[in-house]
Amino acid sequence: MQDTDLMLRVQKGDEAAFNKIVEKYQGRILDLCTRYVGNPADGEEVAMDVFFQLYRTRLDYRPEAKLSTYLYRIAVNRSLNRIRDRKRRRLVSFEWLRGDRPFDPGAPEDDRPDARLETKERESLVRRAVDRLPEKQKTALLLRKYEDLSYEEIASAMGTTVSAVESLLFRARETLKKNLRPVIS
Amino acid sequence: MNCRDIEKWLSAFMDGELAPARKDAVASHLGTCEACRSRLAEWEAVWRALDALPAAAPSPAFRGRLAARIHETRPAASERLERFLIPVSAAAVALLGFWIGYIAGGRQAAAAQFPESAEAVYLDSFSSVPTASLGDVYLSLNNAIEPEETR
Ligand SMILES: [Zn+2]
Repeated sequence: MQDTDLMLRVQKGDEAAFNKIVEKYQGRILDLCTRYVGNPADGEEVAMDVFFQLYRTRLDYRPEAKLSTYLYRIAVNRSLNRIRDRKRRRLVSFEWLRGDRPFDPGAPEDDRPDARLETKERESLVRRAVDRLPEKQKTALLLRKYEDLSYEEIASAMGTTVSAVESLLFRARETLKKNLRPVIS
Repeated sequence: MNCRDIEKWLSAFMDGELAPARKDAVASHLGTCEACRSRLAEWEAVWRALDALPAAAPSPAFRGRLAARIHETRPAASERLERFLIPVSAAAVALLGFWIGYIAGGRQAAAAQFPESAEAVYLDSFSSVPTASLGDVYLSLNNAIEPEETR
């Protein structure tokens, strides 16, 4: 069944249709939110907010909007809110300060301790470089790199134009090239 | 087309987002320009470096917690009944107002002929209104102005 049909069913109170939407998109939304806010615990909270908002405002959804883009837009807004809140309250988690994540990354390809450290270090360098990007560059980058959205879809999720997206990605790449020099050499 | 133009389009070129004509122009320039090729290689390395950020997977509890949160906020049957009853009772109070006005008017007329029985009818009609309910408040207001009216 198409997303639009599912949403129309949700609007009529069909709980099973809503579950199908969650099932289909939870991975992508959680992934984006986690990368956006920088740690899995917050990412999951934000992702939950996204679906909760989708349900709560289900009657506001218009079939003209692509559901995936609509969800990404909510996810970006919610993630930004979470980051701004955190900055405002200065409630910074220890993991966040250290730049690493509290969940198990799984066994590294190479099990030597120094190789594992290197993987961790790379990851934390990349995370910091991405987090230091201006909000819009970061949003465009995350949607392109990890969610594989087209420029048009990114523009729609961000409420901007395709040429603005092109310029954001160009600048994000330039900035990252400087900040990731130790990782890419 | 010089290197500066190419540089501008390289990002969209990597993303496969250039119009065919422009894409061909960039590709043919890359075939002849070492500097632009190395810039592209650098950007490709940046892009690969981003793979270091791991993907997240929802915890097994995610769906259950979401469902619980939605059910928590969904109005229970009693709440839905309340939502229905509030406008209904507001309408009832309004009607009650008209009716009291009607009775009070009639009572003034009746009081001339049957002063005691009119009083009894009035009290009996509202003995079932619960204390502190809207109806009760309305009645107490109405009773408060009653002496003025009957004077
Ligand atoms: Zn060149």
